[in-house]
This record gives sequence, C-alpha cells and structure tokens, in this order.
Amino acid sequence: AVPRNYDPALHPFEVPREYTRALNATKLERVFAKPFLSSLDGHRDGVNCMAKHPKSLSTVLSGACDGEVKIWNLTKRQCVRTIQAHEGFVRGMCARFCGTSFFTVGDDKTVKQWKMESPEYGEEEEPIHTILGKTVYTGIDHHWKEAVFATCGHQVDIWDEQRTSPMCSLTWGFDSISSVKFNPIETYLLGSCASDRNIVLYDMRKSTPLKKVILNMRTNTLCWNPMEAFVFTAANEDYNLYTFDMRFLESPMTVHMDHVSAVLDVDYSPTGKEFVSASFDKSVRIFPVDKGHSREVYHTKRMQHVITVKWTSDNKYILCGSDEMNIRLWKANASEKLGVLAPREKAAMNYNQKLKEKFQYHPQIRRIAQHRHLPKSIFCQIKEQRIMREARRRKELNRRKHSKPGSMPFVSERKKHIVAVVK
Amino acid sequence: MQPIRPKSALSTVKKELTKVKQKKAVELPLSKEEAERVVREAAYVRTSKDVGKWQQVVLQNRRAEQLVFPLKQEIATVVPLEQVVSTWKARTPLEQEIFGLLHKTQQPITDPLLTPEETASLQAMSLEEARQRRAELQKARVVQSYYEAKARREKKIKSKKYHRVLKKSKRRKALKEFEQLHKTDPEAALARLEELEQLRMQERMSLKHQNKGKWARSRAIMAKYDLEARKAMQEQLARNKELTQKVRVELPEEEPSDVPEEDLTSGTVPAIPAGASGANPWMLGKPSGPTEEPKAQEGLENVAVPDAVESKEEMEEDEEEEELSEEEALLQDFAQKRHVRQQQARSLEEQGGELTARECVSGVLQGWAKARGVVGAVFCPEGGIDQRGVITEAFAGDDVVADFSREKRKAEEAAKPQPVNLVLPGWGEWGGTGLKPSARKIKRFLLKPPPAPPRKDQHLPHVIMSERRNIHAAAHQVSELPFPFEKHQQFEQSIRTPVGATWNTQRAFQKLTTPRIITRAGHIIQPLSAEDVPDMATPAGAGAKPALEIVPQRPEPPCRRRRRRAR
Repeated sequence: AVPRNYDPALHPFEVPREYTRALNATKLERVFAKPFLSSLDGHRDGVNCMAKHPKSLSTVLSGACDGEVKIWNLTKRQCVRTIQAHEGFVRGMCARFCGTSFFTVGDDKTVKQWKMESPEYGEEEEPIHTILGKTVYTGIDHHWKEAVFATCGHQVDIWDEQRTSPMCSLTWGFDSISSVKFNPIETYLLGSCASDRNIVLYDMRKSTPLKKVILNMRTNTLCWNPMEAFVFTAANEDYNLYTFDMRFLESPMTVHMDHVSAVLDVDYSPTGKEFVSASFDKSVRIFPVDKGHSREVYHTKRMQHVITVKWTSDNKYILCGSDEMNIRLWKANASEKLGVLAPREKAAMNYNQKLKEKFQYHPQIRRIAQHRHLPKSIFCQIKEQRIMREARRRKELNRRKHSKPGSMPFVSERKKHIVAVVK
Repeated sequence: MQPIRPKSALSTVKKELTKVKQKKAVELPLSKEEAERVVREAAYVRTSKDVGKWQQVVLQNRRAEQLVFPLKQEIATVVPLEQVVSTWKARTPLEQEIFGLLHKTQQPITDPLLTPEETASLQAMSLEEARQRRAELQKARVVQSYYEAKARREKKIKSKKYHRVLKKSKRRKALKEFEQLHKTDPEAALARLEELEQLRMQERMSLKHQNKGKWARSRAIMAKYDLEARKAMQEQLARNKELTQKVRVELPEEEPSDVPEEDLTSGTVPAIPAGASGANPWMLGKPSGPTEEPKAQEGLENVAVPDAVESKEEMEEDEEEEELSEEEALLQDFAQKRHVRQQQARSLEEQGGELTARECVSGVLQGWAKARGVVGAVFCPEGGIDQRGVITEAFAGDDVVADFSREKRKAEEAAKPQPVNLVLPGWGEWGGTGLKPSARKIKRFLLKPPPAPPRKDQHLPHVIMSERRNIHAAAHQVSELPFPFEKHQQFEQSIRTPVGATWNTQRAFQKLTTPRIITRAGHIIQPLSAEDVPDMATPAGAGAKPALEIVPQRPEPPCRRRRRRAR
C-alpha cells in the first residue's frame, strides 16, 4: 500500500472539497437516473391485478379486464403463458406460498385455482379447482403459511383449499369489501377495505373482526409491512396514503401526501423501509415509510391510469400495470447500476451516497436532489392544490384569530382524516 | 274423623312472595351486536398484546445502522476432501479388486500425511532419528517447492530481450562447460562432441533454418520495407550456420593430416591459427584479430575447436565489455546531466528570487516617493541600512496605527443597529417650525434596538472583521437547523468531520461509508418470521431486556488471501 500522511495540515479544505464532491454526486445521480427498463405488451384490455411468484424472481402474473391471465418471464420480457380465466374482469389474483399454483377471482362469481406450470403438450388449459359462488368476489389473498385463502365481496370469507364452502365468514355491517390482505408476519391477521370508507381488521383464529376505523374517504387497498408486524399502509381516495399502527388506530403514524388524484394501489418493499403507490393521476410514487413526501416519481407519456403496482422480492424493481394494457418494469433506485460492481465502483458509490446524505440539507444540493420533471397535468394540479390548501389554512388562521381563544382547538393533520374508530 | 281444617292460603302466597323477592332477576341476554362487540374488544386487546411482542424487534430494526437481507443467509460450506473421500466405498468388482491390491501392499488409499510405510518406518526409528528424518523431508520439500515456484515464474517471462540475453549466456556457459569437460574428462568430452555432431547432422538434414518455411516467406515479403523483418531472416540464417558448423577435435596423432582435410570439407569458419606452421605456409604470421588469449597456450590439440570457441568468446567478451562500457558511459552521462540540471535550477532560483524581490522594493519606493513628492531621494537597491533610512523618510508623514483605529471605529459604528425613530411632532402637543418634541415623546417613540452581539474582532486591535452577511455564500449554506438535530453544534460537527479516503484511513473510510441496507442479487427477501429472531421479548419484560440481535451472528466466511501484486 502507498504510505499516506493523514496530517490535516496537508489536507486542508475538507468541508468545501467534500461539498463539491457531494454536489457532483447529486448531479450525476440525476444524470444517470434512467429508471424505465421495459414495457410488457400483450394484454388486450387494461391490467387489473398482478401477483408475484413467491419462489421465482423472474415470473409475474397479471390479470386483465377481459378475463385474461398472463404469466410473464421478466428476463426475456415475454409472455410465457396465457389463460382465458374468467368472463368479465379478473378482480383479484394471488399465488400460493409454495409457488405451485395460483388463484383468481372474477366477475363471473367463480374462484379458480390454476397450476403454475404450463400444461403438457396436448393438455388443455384447465383450472385445478373451480368454486362457484353466489355473489361477485372482488378480491382474494392467500395465507402466507397455511393452505387457507380469503376472498372478499359482500363479506370476508375464509376458505380451506380442499373445501368448496368457506370455513367461516366474517361480517361487520353491510357494505361491499374491495380488498383483503393477510399479514405476512402474524399470519392470522387480516385487513380489509370496504366501500363504507372503513378499514376493518380481522382475526382468523377467533373468527371475529377486531376493529374498524372510518376515514374521510374510501380506501382502495391496503398492504402490510413485511418487516414490522403491526404496520400497514392504506391507499385512499383522498389522494393520500395512511400508515397505521394496528394497536393505535385513532391516528395514523404518518400521512403521505404527494399524489394529485386517487391512490389505487400500494405495495411494500421487502425491506419494509419504503413503499410504492399507484395512482389515478398517471404516476407511480415511491415513499419512505417515515416521511410524508415521496422520494421518487415515475411517469411516462404512454402510461395512463396506473391500476396496480408491485415491488419485486429482491428489492430492485417495480412493476406497474396500467389502464392501457401495458405492464412496465422500472428500477426501484433510478440511478442504480445493475449488474456486478467492481469493489472500487462499489466503494465509490457508497462514498457518494454517504456524501449526499451528509450534505442533504444544504439548499443547492437539496434543490438538485429533489428536482423531478413532472408531466404538465400533474405539475399544474400540484400548484392548484397548493393554492387551495393555502387558502384553507389562511381561513382557519383567520377564524382562530378572530374567535375566542380556545374555542377553536388545534387538530393535528393526522387526526383530521379519521372520522371514527369503532370497537 | 276430624273435620278438614282449611289452611291459610295466604301463608303459601307469602312464602312464594318472599322467595321471589329474594331471588334476583335473570339478566337480559345481550343483543347480538353487543355480544359481538364484547367479543371483538377482547379479541382486539389480546391481538394487540400478541402483536406488541414485535415492538423491540421493530425498534431495533429502525435504529440499526445496517440491515443485511436476506435475513437467513445459508453459507455453502465446502466439505473437506478427507470427509468426502472417507465416506466413499468401493462398489463395483473392479474397484474392489484394485482396493484389495492396494490394501495388500499397504499403499495409501486416501491421501494422508504419512503413508503406512512411512508410519511403519517412523515407528522403527527412534525419536531423534524420526525428527531428523522429518526435518530432512521437510527441507527437501521446501527446496523442491522453491524451485518449482522459480521455474513457474521464469516460464512466464515473455520479454524478447531477456530471452536473447538468456540464450547468449546459456551458450557461453555451455562452451565453458565443454572446456572444463575437455580438460578434466576427455571421454565425456568426446561424448559431448558426438552429441554436437548429432545436432549438426539433424540440422543439415532437416533444412529448417534456411528461410524456406511459411514464416520466412511472409517475412521475406515484409523484408523489403521492414528492417526488423530483414534482421529476423538474417538471424535465422545465422542460426543455421551456427548449427551446421563442424565441431573439430584434434587428436595429437592425426593432427597434421586431418586439419587440412577437414578444412577443405567443411569450408566454414576460417579459423586463423596463430602460428600454425607446417600445415599452411601462407597462414604464417600474426592474424589481424585479437587472438592474445591465455587459452592458446593449451596447445595444438585445442587449436581448431577452441579457436572457434575462442573467437566467439572474444567477441562476446568484447561485446560485454562494450556493453559494460556503454552502460557505464550512459550512467555517467545521466549523472552528469542531472548534476548540470540541478545546478542550473539552483542558480535560477537564487537569481530569480533576488531579482523579483529587488524589483518589488524599488518599485514600491519609487511609487511612494512620487506620491509624497519627496524629491532627491536616492534609490539604491543595494545596501540594507540605506534602504531603511529611505523608507522612513518616505513614510515620515504617515500615522498608520491611528488611521487604522479610526477606520475600525467607523466600521463598528456603521455596523451598530440603528435606533428606529418614530417621533412625529404634533399629535398631543404643539408642533411647528423651531419646536422640538418633548422628552417624554422622544423617550416613547425612539425605539432602541437590542444590543448587537459582540464583534469577533473585539479583542484584536489590528484587525477589522467584516460582520456583513455574504449573500453569495449564504445561498449555499443551511439557514435553519434541520429536523433530526437538536443543537447547532451537533449539526456543525456532523458537517465538519470528513468522510473521504483522503482524510481517513481505509478501514475508517469503509466503516464510515457502509450502506444502510445490503441485499444479495437474485435472492428473495422473505418477510420477517419468528425464526429470524432467536429470542423475542415478552411484552411484560420488554423494557429491561437488552437490544436483540436481529441479524443472527454468522461465522465469517473464509476470506481469500489477497494476492500481493508483484511490484
């Protein structure tokens, strides 16, 4: 090794030199931020739902609005198998935890179980198992460890795979439930979102709902954090996402605000530190769990309303399915270099990352780091919504100023969006 | 018979009434909704407690400096070879036969440190002997491995120059050896000669180095334009000549007759024997080349062969000398040049320095003299005392210190925050020309600002530090304390400590720049499960327990020794 003298008198101007390096690193990060990888084309109607293969990183399943289910190979970026699963929408699909089969529910009131392998030569594409129901099922999710799955429609049904009638049905009130999700860590817990603007938690062991929280507007989907057992995030119609702690439902842990239209889907990163959300404004945003604003936004001129989004299990890619029949593959870190890195490269990237974190509060660096190009519609909507929010805030301030002190209590932003918690 | 005496009906009724009054009313069963609610609440409380056991784990993960995914890392261990081999058994008849044979002769099946024979012999020896023997074996092995390594290294060398030099030295060595051999063991020398004859025969037969092959033909095309190609072809022909050279051995009896015959037959290198009388009368006299060799004294026996050898040797030695002398000359040349350069540099520095300093001083002096109108000042750059006198004369009317303090006071006054004057004449008292507002009013409306913080140059009488805010610098600086920090000093310290490799040792740099999340490419990250956390804290004793290890301690994978780069 080269002998070095670390005497600080020989290496002056540490802070300005590192600041310059941080500035360059931030600029280069923006230069190399090219997250779009490819678009999977083949569906003949909008993509309605997606499912990840639990054992294979290169497989993804998608269901379209014309009842077609396609299985894609992400390395070749080709469709490997097509199944005409349902007549009508494919409302929901999920893969079994072992990876050998998957389930789909559709508008034709059926639940079908299919094999993950392609059929042999000469065999026809047939489901292993079909369950005919009396009502439309709008969502399905499989247990993470046992041979149990749950569907939702009019009520939440929990099925054993071998039976044709549900083991138990959980109801609380009369409303249609749009999605249901199992907790990956405490696997007996379920969460569901109903059209009555509420989120209900269920316990499968005791076959009873637990608690209901009513928000201002309807929640479209929810997703459990794979690393934190009691945390889930709900994607709401009022353009926000709410991260809740299951034990304290009176106020969410964080309110994530950045979308300009209804948020339709949310999925967690397998590390549990970030999540991705798909919205009716034609963009996909990545939020850190503890921050209130997004760190990244992905959009394309060709991508219309994004209906479904998934974060792959190796924490590297994001898949989003949209209205215009395409599934797009993006990088989770836009400026990341894929592939094997030499040790020097890795060291340099780590150093740059550390510098960017160190100087992130400096105005010039923050300005460059948070700058994103946005499509005109979103950009104008953001400005408009900022003006509206400012107006509301000003009105509230004025009211408080001109009324009896103490008559207008301060309500925290978190509690503003919760209507009630029902036991 | 006695008449029926009617019982009092009241008593029974009374009894029943008292009974009913004592018993409490059965409670109304809960309505379905209420029952459900009760069940839900209980279930919720229970579930919250169950889920709360993950609290510590979650907090630890949030605070952790680094998270490594996937959590369960299976390290593929390499089974040691001995284990694999020992578990193997002979199955087929062929294998069994061979193994039987090996067993009989006690040959080692596996590759142990000592074969059975060696162990037996070791047991036969005493301890000391055994030790000696082992040391010998070890030494032999070490020497063997050293030579192997050396040979491997040498085999890798590709440089042409090295190989040319090596060939030359080998040739010289071979000749020297032959000489030695000739002196000591004529029989062996004869054998060697025969070998050489063999080589010569082969060369004549094979027509190899005759510029006829594919390579030579391609070189011939290039030879027209390329000097090196020409040289290569010539080298090939020279090699041919060398190999087909007749190696002559003069046996004392046959000397006179053989030599001329062989001369005629070979017709190759014209060896000029120094004073070879009898054979060729025209060849009498001193030859032109440097033939003074001590080896010529050996005798006519060694005339022919060693002559060729000698001439070659001479040439090589000359070349060597020349080379040496050339090298020496080069080195001397370099040294001289370096010396000259250094001298020049030194002289330049001195001259240049002096010149610039002198120019400066004289320029300044002249300028001042002109400004002050000092007439008649004589400027002589040489001489120190003269100069000082001149300077004092020039700056006689200057009081620098007072000027500076005046300037500093002015700057201080300017920087002081000014009181805001809101006084308006009239408004509650008489106002007009020549009238001053009352003291009370002035006191009320002259807003004094809070005293400014002490200046940084307070204790430095000869320094003025401007307290003005540099707008261009402020655009790049942080204006408010960012969220995670509580004090200004914390933030400033975090910015002040350098992170790069220029200011930190390599280990420190690596530790400072470790990434927060590490994932493995191509590995699926499963959700957290109870198996990943070896010991989950119960909700009751949550606070007391120390931080849990979410990443199970795994043994360090065997690290490869870093190959030292050859310098």
